[in-house]
Amino acid sequence: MVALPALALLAGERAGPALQQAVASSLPAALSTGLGFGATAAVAGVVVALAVPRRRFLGAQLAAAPLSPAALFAAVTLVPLLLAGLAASAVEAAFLVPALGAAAPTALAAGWAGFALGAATAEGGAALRGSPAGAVALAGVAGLWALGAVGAGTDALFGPFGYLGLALRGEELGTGPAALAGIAVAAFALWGLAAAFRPDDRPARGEVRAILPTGGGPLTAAFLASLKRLGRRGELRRTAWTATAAAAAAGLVLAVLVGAEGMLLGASLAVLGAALVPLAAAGIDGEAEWLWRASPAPRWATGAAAAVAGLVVALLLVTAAVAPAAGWAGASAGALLQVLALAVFTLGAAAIAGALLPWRSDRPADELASFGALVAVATGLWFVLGRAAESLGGGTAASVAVLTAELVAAMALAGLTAARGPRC
Amino acid sequence: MGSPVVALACTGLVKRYGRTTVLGGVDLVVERGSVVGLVGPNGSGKTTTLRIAAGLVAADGGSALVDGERAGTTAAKARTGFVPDEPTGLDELTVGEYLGLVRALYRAGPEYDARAGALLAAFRLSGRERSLLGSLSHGLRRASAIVAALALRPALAVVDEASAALDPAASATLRESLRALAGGGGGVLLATQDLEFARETCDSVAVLGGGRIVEHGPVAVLS
Repeated sequence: MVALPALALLAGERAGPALQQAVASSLPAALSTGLGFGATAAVAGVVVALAVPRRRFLGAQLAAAPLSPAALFAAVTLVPLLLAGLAASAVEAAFLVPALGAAAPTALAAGWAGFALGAATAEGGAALRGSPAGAVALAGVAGLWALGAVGAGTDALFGPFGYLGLALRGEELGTGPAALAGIAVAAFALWGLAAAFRPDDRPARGEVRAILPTGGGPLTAAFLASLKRLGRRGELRRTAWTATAAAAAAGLVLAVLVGAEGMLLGASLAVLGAALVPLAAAGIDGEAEWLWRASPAPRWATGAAAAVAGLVVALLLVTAAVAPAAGWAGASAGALLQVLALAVFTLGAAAIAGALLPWRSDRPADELASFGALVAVATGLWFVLGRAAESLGGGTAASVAVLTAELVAAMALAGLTAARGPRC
Repeated sequence: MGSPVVALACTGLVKRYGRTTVLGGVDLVVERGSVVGLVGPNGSGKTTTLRIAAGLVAADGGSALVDGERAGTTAAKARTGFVPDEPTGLDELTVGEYLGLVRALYRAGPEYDARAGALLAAFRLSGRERSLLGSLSHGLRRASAIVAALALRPALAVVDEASAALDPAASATLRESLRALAGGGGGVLLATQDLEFARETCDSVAVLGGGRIVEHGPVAVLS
């Protein structure tokens, strides 16, 4: 974690020229980049809002304490997240300043605004079941979006992130950071409002309609068991599935509005949401450590099987999310290959990060550490694999080779860390 | 050559966690056909002894042999059925899927299903095959873990906190099942705080204190 700011700085310096050249080419490109940045932050907000601790995570004894919903939200959710967010902002700034120059403050504020808007949207949607406050939060988010678009003077599609698009072109008048910060504060308030009225999670299903196959051999059985555990896991359905579904909807809307480029943005967001599954796979697998270690099946193999299951579930999610937008936009084979490469890279990085810093359910600090590991691993791999592809002569064959190597390394690492991990 | 007559032989087992010595030289034998109870206060090392026998943790000193095989090896694990105090981490599997997973991991034959079916009925879990483990009470989850382990008909059954969370009827069923396993030539090592259960189930009892066996003998030792 100590290396993160240095890595971010290095990444910012490396990515800066290419990024600035890309956004300088046209205003639509700059606005799309701004929207993509904000939407990525919004997906993070959706995931975090749906994953953060609730009253039941205090434990049976403390959950019964007379704590108001507002106090609970502030103590368990808002304050820890703001502290973590400030730490993350320092790392983010280390990347943004060398990468974007004068547009960095606007980008930083857009990150907070996107995060808060995503969180308020997710929380509002969840609260719809129990209270009108959910509808109020969602209406508030829509209002903030429209207000941001009017303030920036760009198309409504870009909402408040029009400020960032203009800043990337050097056309923003300097009011963007303050406006985006105001939107972030208002969205945090809407998030808190919806959280105060969010009903308890529905009790988990007690039964399944059919007992799924368990497989003949130990490894097949471990793989299939991991598939079921990841597919039925409540917290992943709330976070990864919801984020991927939201990204799918956004991708479809963007595909309708702007065509294949919109599909690519939606696909990128879907990959980010689905990455939670391989990120969490190793940690969830370790919860049954007693069974894996007591059984005669080799632990490295059952650990690797769980990692493969995480990748398979994530790829299925991405496929389901991308297919509608790709179909509508009539995406070319090249565009679909781009999505596949992005998915393999990101999901492989998530599997590696999850193996290095296993996801611990109901432990927000550990979950944030896993997120941090994903950022660090993805950044590091971006450079390492880029160099490797260059040394192989570049082109499609080199890309396929390095991405395959990444997947193999992810599986090997998952098996190795499972075998050498702490005994239960 | 017949099977060894000793299901578990622990000699001078030592286990340390950091500077704390949990086991300071445990000697313990579980013969085939017998049920041995391990009793002692909290923190006396019962669970650690069981986990070494089941191959979950390695001892820092001494040796543990399961059916003649070094504990923790694939051969020893294949001969051991382990029931933890908390069968955690599999809430998303149904009872049926969990049993199928255990059967596959241990490469058990088709007779496993018949034995599991009989045990499910005995523990009043019949009809729960489609129930997710996470939806079951703590007692029923433990009963499922007991069924999964005993259906293997292992040479050594290792049962932690044997009767914990079980209702009286399930405790009686567990007692009968462990006695039946021993009657069939298996060995059972169980840890419990329930002295009445130990008295009614075990052939002999070992008392752990301060990381050592301080007394080992017939059940009468409990009195």
